[in-house]
Amino acid sequence: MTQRSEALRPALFAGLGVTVAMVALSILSAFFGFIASTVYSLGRLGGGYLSDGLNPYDLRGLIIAFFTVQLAMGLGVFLSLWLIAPIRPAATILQVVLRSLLAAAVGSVVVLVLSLFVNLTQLVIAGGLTPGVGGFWSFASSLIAAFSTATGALVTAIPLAVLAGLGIVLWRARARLTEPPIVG
Amino acid sequence: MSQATARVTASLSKNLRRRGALPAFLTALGTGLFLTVQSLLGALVSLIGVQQATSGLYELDYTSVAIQGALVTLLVTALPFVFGMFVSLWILAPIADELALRFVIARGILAGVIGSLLVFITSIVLVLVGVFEASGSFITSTFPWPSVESGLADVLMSLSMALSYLVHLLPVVILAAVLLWHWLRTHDREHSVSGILDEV
Repeated sequence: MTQRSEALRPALFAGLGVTVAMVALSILSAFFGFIASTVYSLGRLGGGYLSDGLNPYDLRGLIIAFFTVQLAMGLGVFLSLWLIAPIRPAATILQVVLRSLLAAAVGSVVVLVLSLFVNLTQLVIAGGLTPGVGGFWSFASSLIAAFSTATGALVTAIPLAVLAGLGIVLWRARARLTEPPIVG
Repeated sequence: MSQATARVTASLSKNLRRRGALPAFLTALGTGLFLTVQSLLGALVSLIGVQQATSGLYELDYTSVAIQGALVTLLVTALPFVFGMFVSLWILAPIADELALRFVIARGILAGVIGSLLVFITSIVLVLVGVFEASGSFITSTFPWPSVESGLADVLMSLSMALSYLVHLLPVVILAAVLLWHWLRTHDREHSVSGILDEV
């Protein structure tokens, strides 16, 4: 119980760090993607297809992606580093890397489940989940899309999770150094 | 002219004799392997999606298309990036065990910037090759020359692609630098390393 409560704060920081970093990366990627498409439109198409900024559909997609990818990955990393495989103070670098990889894998499972849930909900709302072959293919398509999202999130999150794990180790080492000496 | 050449040669030979090429090479190699796995995984996932979505519709060989796409991406982006990273970690700003963590992260970011600069240059070279392949020989061709707008768009597209690649790979490069730093702290080196940045 004590070990778990000791692991709570570093795990929380790690999960939060992974989420914030993934959001920052996604915003920067979207920004460069927008610049690229604008430049392409201006240079090649004479500005005929110039995008007029972010439309509500894009914004909805970004919000859904925040909850199903970035926040879900952070949640998985937090849960794994808190409850499943916390990083002990005496952990070796290999253990830190492996536990961080496990945290990223747990995060990607959470992403898979949430993405599948959102995809199926959208499918049901659109009336696409019908009994028969058509419904089966729609379900398979949702599953593959969720798997693809989870794999992409895993690849992005692996270096971030390992950096978070190393951050925990370095943070603890620094905290030990700044502790006041025991005087008897 | 000959003095300048001699100076460049001397500087080049001095820099090529710098110690610490192996750790920098192994770090860049590790990053390259990660990028290869990432690229192939991406190709595999897109392949599954395409196969499922278009099963029986077309007679295209999606496997070879996806693998070719992944290989081209690796050649024109990952390879220059990893080479730039290697050069930076070896000659420009090597990582030593006595550095503080913030400087290690800064040098990792610098390695990423140099890598993405090489990606940008490669992309520009490929655009130029494409232009001259389309319009004939460099010497004899007079028409059709690319317009200024189109050329500028290509340059800006390449720049935006290189910056996007840098953003995408920044965590990987920083992680590689931190892992190298940690390894150097736990293993004694017989010689000290210094780069161009340390001598400025």
